Amino acid sequence: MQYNISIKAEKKNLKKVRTFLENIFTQMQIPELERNQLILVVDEILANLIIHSAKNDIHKNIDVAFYEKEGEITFEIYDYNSPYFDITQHKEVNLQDLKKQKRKGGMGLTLVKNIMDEVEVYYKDNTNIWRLQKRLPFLLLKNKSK
Amino acid sequence: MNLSIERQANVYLLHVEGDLDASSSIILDNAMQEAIQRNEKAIIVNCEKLNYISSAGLGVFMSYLSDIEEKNIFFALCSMNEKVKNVFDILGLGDLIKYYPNQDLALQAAK
Repeated sequence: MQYNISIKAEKKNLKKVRTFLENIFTQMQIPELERNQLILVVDEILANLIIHSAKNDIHKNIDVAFYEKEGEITFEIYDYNSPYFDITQHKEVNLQDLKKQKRKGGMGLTLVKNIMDEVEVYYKDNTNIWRLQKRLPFLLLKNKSK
Repeated sequence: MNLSIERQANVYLLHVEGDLDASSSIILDNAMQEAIQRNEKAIIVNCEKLNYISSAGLGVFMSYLSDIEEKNIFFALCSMNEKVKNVFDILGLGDLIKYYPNQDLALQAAK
């Protein structure tokens, strides 16, 4: 089953997506810590897109889809009408550099990469499609026991 | 997110409550800025009622670490729940920011 949510590019909508995901992951009986990590990665990507890609343009839509298949959670986040984002250029954040530079940003994508098993960005029809995947073996066991 | 300020001896205690994300981190940012400008000797952020934190919230702390060091201010976080502590640990922030499991221990360390 696939779940979808669409938001306008406003920071206040981050909470709406978190609540949406929390409800579904609770129904799926995903433990609290893993649930929080999955919610966090979507929140981080959405916050980045709202601030840096949509530049807080509330007329811009961002879509989030996710599904579970064979013990793996996959998120797809659609950032429309955007220039290509080359994720291969992203380097893990150096905390000492952040401290010296007194920067508030820069840790989000590192968090996402540390939590998820796969983080990829595809570019199609002027859209960056973020695909994030995480294997949760207990989901596989749960499904088999049904 | 809600934030309240309490004083205990010479310690400036910030109690953070709710969700600290890209939308609400500005509230924490303003409070941290004010505490540092007031030349407080010790700042402790109590996270007991903090339900959620993203990198935007943690980034606020990161951005003031140099100022805190320059002004020789004692700075620590305390009482995080398991979810919040997990995010803190994934980034390895324990190497840069002091953390205590409860407020009493943080206050003792600040003396």
